[in-house]
Amino acid sequence: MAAQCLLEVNELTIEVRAGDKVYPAVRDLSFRINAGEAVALVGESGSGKSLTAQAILGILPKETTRLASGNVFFGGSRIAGGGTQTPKGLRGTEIAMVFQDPVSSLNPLIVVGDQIAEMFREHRGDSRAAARKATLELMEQVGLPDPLERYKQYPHELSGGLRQRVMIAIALSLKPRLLIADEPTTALDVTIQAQLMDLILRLKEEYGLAVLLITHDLALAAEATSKIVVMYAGRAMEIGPLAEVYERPDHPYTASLLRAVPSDVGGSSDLYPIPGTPPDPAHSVPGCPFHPRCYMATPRCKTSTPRLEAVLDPDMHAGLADPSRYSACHYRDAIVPIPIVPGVVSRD
Amino acid sequence: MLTYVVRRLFFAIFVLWGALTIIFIVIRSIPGNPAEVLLGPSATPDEVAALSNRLGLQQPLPLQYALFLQHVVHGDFGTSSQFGVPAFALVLQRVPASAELAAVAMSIVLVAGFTLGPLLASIADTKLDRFATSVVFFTQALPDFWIAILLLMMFSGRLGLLPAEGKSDWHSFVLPAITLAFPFSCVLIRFVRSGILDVQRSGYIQTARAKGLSPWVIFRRHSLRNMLIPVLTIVGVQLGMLFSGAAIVETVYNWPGVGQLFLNAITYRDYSVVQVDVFLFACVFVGINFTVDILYAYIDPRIRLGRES
Amino acid sequence: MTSATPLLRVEDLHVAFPIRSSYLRRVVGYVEAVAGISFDLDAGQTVGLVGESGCGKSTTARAIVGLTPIRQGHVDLNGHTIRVGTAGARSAINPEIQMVFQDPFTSLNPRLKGFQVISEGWEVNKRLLPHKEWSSEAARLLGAVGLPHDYLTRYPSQLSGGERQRLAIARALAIRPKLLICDEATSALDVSVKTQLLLLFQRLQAETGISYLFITHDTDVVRHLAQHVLVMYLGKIMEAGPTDAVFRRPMHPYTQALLSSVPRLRPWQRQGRRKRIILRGEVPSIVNPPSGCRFRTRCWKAAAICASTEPQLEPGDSMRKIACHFPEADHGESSPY
Repeated sequence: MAAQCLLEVNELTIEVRAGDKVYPAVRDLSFRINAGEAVALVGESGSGKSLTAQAILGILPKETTRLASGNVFFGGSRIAGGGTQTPKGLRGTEIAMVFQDPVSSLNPLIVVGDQIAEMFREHRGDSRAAARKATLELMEQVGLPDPLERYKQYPHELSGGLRQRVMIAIALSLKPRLLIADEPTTALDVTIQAQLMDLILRLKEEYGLAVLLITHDLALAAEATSKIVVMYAGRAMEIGPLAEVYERPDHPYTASLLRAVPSDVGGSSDLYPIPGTPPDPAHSVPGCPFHPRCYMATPRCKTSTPRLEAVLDPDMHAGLADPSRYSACHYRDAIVPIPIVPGVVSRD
Repeated sequence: MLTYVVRRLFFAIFVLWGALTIIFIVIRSIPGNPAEVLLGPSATPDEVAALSNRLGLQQPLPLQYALFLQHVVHGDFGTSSQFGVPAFALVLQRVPASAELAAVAMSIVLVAGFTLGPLLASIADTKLDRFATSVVFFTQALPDFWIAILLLMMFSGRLGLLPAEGKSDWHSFVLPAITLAFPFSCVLIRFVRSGILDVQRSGYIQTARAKGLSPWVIFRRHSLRNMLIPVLTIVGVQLGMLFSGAAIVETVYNWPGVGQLFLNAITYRDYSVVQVDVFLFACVFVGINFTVDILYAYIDPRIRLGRES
Repeated sequence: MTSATPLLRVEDLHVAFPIRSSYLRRVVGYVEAVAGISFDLDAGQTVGLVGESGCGKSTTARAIVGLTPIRQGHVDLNGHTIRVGTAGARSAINPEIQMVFQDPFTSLNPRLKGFQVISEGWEVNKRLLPHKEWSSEAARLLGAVGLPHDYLTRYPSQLSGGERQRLAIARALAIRPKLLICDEATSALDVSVKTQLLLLFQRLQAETGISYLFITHDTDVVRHLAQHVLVMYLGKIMEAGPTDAVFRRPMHPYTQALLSSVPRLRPWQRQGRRKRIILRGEVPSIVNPPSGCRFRTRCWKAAAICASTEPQLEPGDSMRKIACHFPEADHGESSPY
């Protein structure tokens, strides 16, 4: 029953240069993904989730970003850290990525079939004919209708949903062990989103893939993944099995965020926004980054930055830490639900 | 694709026709008898009468216009009042000199653009880049005759390395071509730089990197063609301008090209030659634009197939 | 609906865009982005217009405001017809209807400071507010949308996305419209900011009695703001009725599929559980919509009659209307495939 750790991110810090300023956009991030597991990396804009994905894959833009410290391990060996980025050899073959799809994720001048076939030709050395055949089969598997026709089409001739299927085909062509999906359905309609998530999860089962789903949509994470990493201002705030985290969050940010999502269950039309605004990553405050908006904040939170540590499981008598839940809050063992103060308009 | 080409062709012919019409109107708008205007102050009354007849000046305007177009189609733009020879032949004779100069200048521009452009792109957003880009901007603004005179003083006058004027052997090409190439190089450098940066930052290059392709494959298959589209536009425009905008450079270096003839003709009110020159420049631009448009459609399927989704 | 005159009445609205041939740019046909929709909006209420991309909801909004010409049908405000279908003619923008757009980064002029953004409306409609009151009213508006007074002197580029949307709302409210049309006004924002804005919309309606036409693809937003909802697909209304009823018991297959596709925050809970319906195929092209019922190509109930006869929008139960030959209440038993 011991899960096999496939990917381990360890104290990852990524620095970003904007103009003449350099600041850490991701700080001391640590989490694990086991083989065949689906993990969600959730956070709002500016939380650093896309950069994390790029760092794992080794495609951080070197002009503006730098892996300042920390390591990434894959299959037991270190692939990034100590000044080196993930080597090209792993990309597409062991770790693959699907991006958010505005039209620009695919080369507009090359037919989609060739963009898929490229994987077979470049990585496996297939001939044109062999690559084409493999591509057509793959296109059927990802649900692209009329593969023969579609092969010759250009990206702009396809709808958003079909383009994403092409991206998925490209990503899964060489049967990688880890698929990173960075906001794969954000730009798409909800019925198309359902189709695509269904496809991704089905292929995950078939291929035994691990999936890292990056999203700001907490509900999407709940439907697709079993473990969640909640990020805020470049740090991990909470990590744990998704259902447990949603039912009993161990961090006030998670609790506030869950509360702020407009209820999808009929009956209540009450809204509980988080007061204040997300912090500017370029100007970091001392102490916990969430404390200005936190309902549990104390003076200690202003001065001392909490570390991501295991949470004591209240159900275990011996007081041993539950190894699957982590929280970066000084009061991680004593989180209280958000108080509902009637008649208070949000302090925005 | 065919409809696209046909449409471009129609458009090209339409523009040329428009140019001719404007030429016709302008000549007729100059005060005085058009025949006298075209023949110049030294013409005899007989010559004036003869030309008036040929041009049909006593006829209604539409007929004159038709006559004008008919003459043009046969290559008859009238006679140069300066030299007394057919204007069309006179101009045509000078085309090779301008074309050769334009070609040499274009080569310099291309070399400069494709070596310094990528260089600037690689240091983008640094202090050095900002400094270099402002130098490029500044250089672009320098007037060509000023550059010409500086170069002449240095290389021809002081060092005596290169001829000061005229077209002779390859030495004579150097200074005029460099002078002409200066501002155009600056423009191309900036265009290549931003073209490279745009492509580098685009989504599909990120996808290509995520696919684990080698940098060379990424460059050759994904960056190159995509970069070419904006660069192609500007190179086309520049080629047209190198040919037709060389008047001042040709004059300073006494280069026997169309531009020099053009300036002289204006000074001497040799309207026949001016007519031909203007029309020639129009043809060059339209021709180059048409070619660029066709190349576009060949490279970019979005244009070829129409922007649908 | 009540028998009193509704604030807004839209009747048989058609909006079409010309298709031009590639040869000479001649008009060879029309794309009907909105193919005949009708609805009422009462004063002080919110109507949600829901649908996916290409369904025509944004086009409807723009036609009501006057940014897009109407091909057929008419729009009445307080009983007076303000827009009528006359090909090509564009009628004046009515100051009683204002609009807030989706993208807070491009819908505000970056060269105007906060005060100018708000006061532009008064410059055009001079009779609304005497000049000496502009400053105080602008400050009051900023307060009403929850922005500090000193934002009057700031440029949009100095504001965050959520703050810009608030400024856009203040601008829209400046000339005291009766109806505010919000076209995906919260879609480009983070969750926490989105919720703040929704709360603001609720509060403004409670305080001023303004009406909203809320265009969105996000059904959860509609649930919290709108009393009535219209579900659109490919230019037509599929289902219309009180939000609560439609969302709890959708009767049209498309509504069922749409609602079942929305991911749920706690899918392991029983309450509100819905069978997931995955639609097959892609949305058909609006240029050549399917004959009869437009949804039939993706509908699991489609039968011969769906192709031959277009279903009309008719009462489904006492409170709502649907356009379907085989409507039903969702007991979770109708199984696609």
